[in-house]
Amino acid sequence: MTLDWESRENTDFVYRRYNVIVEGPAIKPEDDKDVKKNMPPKEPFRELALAVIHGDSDRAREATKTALASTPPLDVIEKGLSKGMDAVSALYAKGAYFLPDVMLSADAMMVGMNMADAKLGKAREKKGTVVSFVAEGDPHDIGKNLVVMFLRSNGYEVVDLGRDVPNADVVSAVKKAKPVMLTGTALMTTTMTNFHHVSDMLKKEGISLPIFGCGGGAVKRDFVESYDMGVYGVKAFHATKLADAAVAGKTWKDMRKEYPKIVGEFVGEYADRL
Amino acid sequence: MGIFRYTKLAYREPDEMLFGHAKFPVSAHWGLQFGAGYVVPEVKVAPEAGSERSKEVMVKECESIAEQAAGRAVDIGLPAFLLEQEHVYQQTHFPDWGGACTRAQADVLERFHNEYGIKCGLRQTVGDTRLEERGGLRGTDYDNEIAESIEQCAKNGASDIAAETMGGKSVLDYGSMRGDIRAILFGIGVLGSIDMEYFWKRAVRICSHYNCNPAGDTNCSGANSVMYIAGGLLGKDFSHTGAALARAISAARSLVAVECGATGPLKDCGYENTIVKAICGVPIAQEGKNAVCAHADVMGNLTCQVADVWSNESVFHREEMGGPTPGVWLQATGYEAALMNTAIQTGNAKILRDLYTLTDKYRDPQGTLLAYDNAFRVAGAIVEYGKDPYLRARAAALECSKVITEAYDAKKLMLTRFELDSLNKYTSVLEGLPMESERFIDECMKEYPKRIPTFDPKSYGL
Amino acid sequence: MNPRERVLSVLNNETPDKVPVTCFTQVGIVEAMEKLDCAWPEAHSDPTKMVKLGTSLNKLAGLESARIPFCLTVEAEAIGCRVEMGRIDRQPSVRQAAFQSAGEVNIPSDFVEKGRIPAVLEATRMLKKNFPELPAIVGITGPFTLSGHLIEIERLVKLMRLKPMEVEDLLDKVTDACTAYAQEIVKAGADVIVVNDPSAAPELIDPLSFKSTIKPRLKFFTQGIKAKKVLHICGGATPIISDMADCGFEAISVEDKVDIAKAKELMKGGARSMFVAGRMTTTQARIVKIAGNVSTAKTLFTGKPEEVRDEAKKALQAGTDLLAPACGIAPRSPLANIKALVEARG
Repeated sequence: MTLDWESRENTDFVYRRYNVIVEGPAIKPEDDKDVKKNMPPKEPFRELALAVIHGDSDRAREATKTALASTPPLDVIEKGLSKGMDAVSALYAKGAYFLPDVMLSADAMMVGMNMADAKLGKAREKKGTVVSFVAEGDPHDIGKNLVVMFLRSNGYEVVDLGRDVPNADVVSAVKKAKPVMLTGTALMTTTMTNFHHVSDMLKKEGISLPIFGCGGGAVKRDFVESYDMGVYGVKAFHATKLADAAVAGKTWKDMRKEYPKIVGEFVGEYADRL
Repeated sequence: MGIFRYTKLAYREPDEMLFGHAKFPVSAHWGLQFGAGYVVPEVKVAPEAGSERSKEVMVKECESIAEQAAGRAVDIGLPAFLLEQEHVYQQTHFPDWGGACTRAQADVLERFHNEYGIKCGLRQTVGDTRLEERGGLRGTDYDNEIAESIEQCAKNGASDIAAETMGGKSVLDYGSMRGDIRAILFGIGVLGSIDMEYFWKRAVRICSHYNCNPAGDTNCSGANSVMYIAGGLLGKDFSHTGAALARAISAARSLVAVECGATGPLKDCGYENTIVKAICGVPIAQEGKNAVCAHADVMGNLTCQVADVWSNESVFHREEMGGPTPGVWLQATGYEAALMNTAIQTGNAKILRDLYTLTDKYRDPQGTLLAYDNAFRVAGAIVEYGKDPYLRARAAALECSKVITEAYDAKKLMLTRFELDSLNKYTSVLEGLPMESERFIDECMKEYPKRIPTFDPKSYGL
Repeated sequence: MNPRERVLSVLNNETPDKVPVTCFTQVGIVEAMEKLDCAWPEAHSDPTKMVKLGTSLNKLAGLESARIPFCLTVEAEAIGCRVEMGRIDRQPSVRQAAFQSAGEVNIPSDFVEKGRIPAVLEATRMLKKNFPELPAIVGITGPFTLSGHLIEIERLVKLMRLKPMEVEDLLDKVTDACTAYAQEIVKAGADVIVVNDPSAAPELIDPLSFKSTIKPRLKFFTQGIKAKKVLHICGGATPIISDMADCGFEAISVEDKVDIAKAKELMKGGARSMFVAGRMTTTQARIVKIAGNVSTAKTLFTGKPEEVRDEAKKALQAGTDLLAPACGIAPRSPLANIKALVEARG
């Protein structure tokens, strides 16, 4: 007799772990069905993606080193590391991953990406440029850091202005970088009013952007839609989808209307736009 | 003065372990042996509430428990049985009560033994009436009473003495309420081990003067408390994976009694006994499906796998439809022992053992840990660091974590996120702990004395 | 009943004559600051102005609350973080963490004599003396949020995954500091201590970590405090409601993302029986009072008084025990909206 049964059909007659049945089993992130179908099947890409998914920077360093020996740096990023980050977004979206997991994955991703970029020698061609800032007076930058991280791992050049950024600095950065998207985040109700000012100042300068994506703790959709260019971003990882839409020629008016379609999922805040 | 420490396992491979068989069998008076090729059923009954109002009533109560148990044993044809009396407070607090009750029960058993030739044993389990906040664990009146009560029981016909000591409980309780695995490790693995050494050196010495075996000590107050806090499958106060870690740690602690000279059979409620048996080869008592009157555990069959004594844990002394509880529950454990003994006699013991194990091996993480093949691995981790009570307790927990993680990776043991996340967290805490006992104790002594008002470091010589 | 009796009767689990309209979160609004000469940033450190502003919404709108201070940086500053004091319509904020790693964190036992802590204590004594009819409510920073201030929140949440023991030790130290500070506040005469732990919200920390890492500290904290205690956690706290209720606070305060009726259902779910060491024990479900939850980001800030009234009525219908703003009131919120909130009880 073997002391281990392979078949769940057998054990189901003997015992059931009702807690697992009720809550669902703890599956490994790479076994999640949405992750599984997008996982690169072949090495070295699979290992690169796994290192990112598990948020293991050491593993990412090793995997990237191994991969770069035989694979072009661009493939390392796009077919490996980025796939891992896509999985992380999916896991975060469904509530399997939380902020700490995402941040550790981002760290692992950056370790690999910097190595690949160094090997590449020249600047990678980017999908477009995005300018990101935290509202003047607001020191809470976790939300912005997430946005920046998701954008960078998806091939965007991001001008990261940091936190507590004076409105005038935002406007001059936009003038200089000519981005496809501007993102503003705020946690405090006391600071989000600056978005309105930024929008007005851009208009006065005659600058029209495809989108000025705003989000964060206290920010609400009604408020964001009260000024031009404003599109309320519900989740940090939606930023990449919105930027892709901007690159594809959508305007902020389209995005307000088609938000759920653009981000590809049901979004409670835009339930009226389904 | 240091004590002997195990650095090797008693068995070469897990398959050598079997119910009814111990590497080092134990003999007692009235013809009974433990681990000598057959399984002994055990019954244990708690005296009726109120019977502690006087010594006379208590003695009568204990006598009638023995009478009813022995009577049923003969009625249904049991070849052997063990009667255990777990002391109520007064039986330990007033050693003469303990002595008188033991005498009354011993007389009954002796009579049945002489009349029918039935093999009997009488285990007296003293209560641990010491409290850290009541003057400490050592040298108080409470502490001295325990020694005296042991002596009275041994002198008056007990075939063995067991205990469930509470060393480290203050810190352990703090740890289990807060999910602090370091405190659990310190409470059970370090403080528990220190107190066990103090307690059992003395108990062994006392028993050596009489025809009475020093049996052993389980971590009922520790690992079992954690198991209860973890509750059934749907409980969320403490994870079942965490409870399994506490169980692994408790094996390193319960081993100390044997290292001080205890011979077994180790007491029934120590689910860690499988691990201890793998290390030192002494017979063990276990409880499971026939202890449903006392506990709801999730490994009712599995615990039969290598048991030498099969117990009902405890039940109130009262009347069931099938008669008084001492008879009823001895009948339950008696028939299970009969099944195991039939398997032994027909050469099917290992098949039955594996069936027992398989029914519960993946029902719960604790079952996974205690399945005899895995328990054997944890035992191996303990003896690798056998000389150091802290390091071996830590090693036990880490090996336990490995065992559970492997079963999970192999998709045999299903876990919830709560169970898996807490296991991962505890494992990473355990891995980060120092590799030197002194440093660990220093760290803990900086934190816990000020956080836990009932913790009395003096009780552990710290 | 006066406002103090009314609020305390709810926290004492007695029946008030009517549902109190109060506030456990920050109460400073610009309109009041200007009217009563108690503007930020001075009111953050001047006890007299602090008291004036803390009681301003009672004076001007009848809110049943005297609530100080107005930010979550008092302790962080006293322990050594660099704090930017903000301006009339912007709260102070931590600009630089005090320590580079969890291991470095060292909180001197005399930190309660540093920074603005003496001002808060003095203001508490003044509240007690001069406003006996108002509940003296003092807010402190919760242990997890304060830990985030001390070593930076990003570092803290990563550490929870990488080196959980360091986080455990840090939280213990910080909880001790929180307890010491709260005990001083109670000594100064506060009726209610509000623990604000926004960083412990499910948006930042998964509910299991809240249960296993933060809840034990909050439980430990409440055992050491001999006053009424309220726990405020921002955001979508629904997944952690029963754990919040089980920390020993008399009430929990939640944002508008939480459905109060549902929260009350969830709290009932905690009861169960188990067999412990030979005895059957039943754990009671912890049912505590709920305060909330008229939206501060939306309704109170940018809504019209009618909207405030409607939302307040909804909260009352959902069963709020203490009608209150969902979070800290935005400083540019109009006084008219606060009045509408008070009138909504009607």
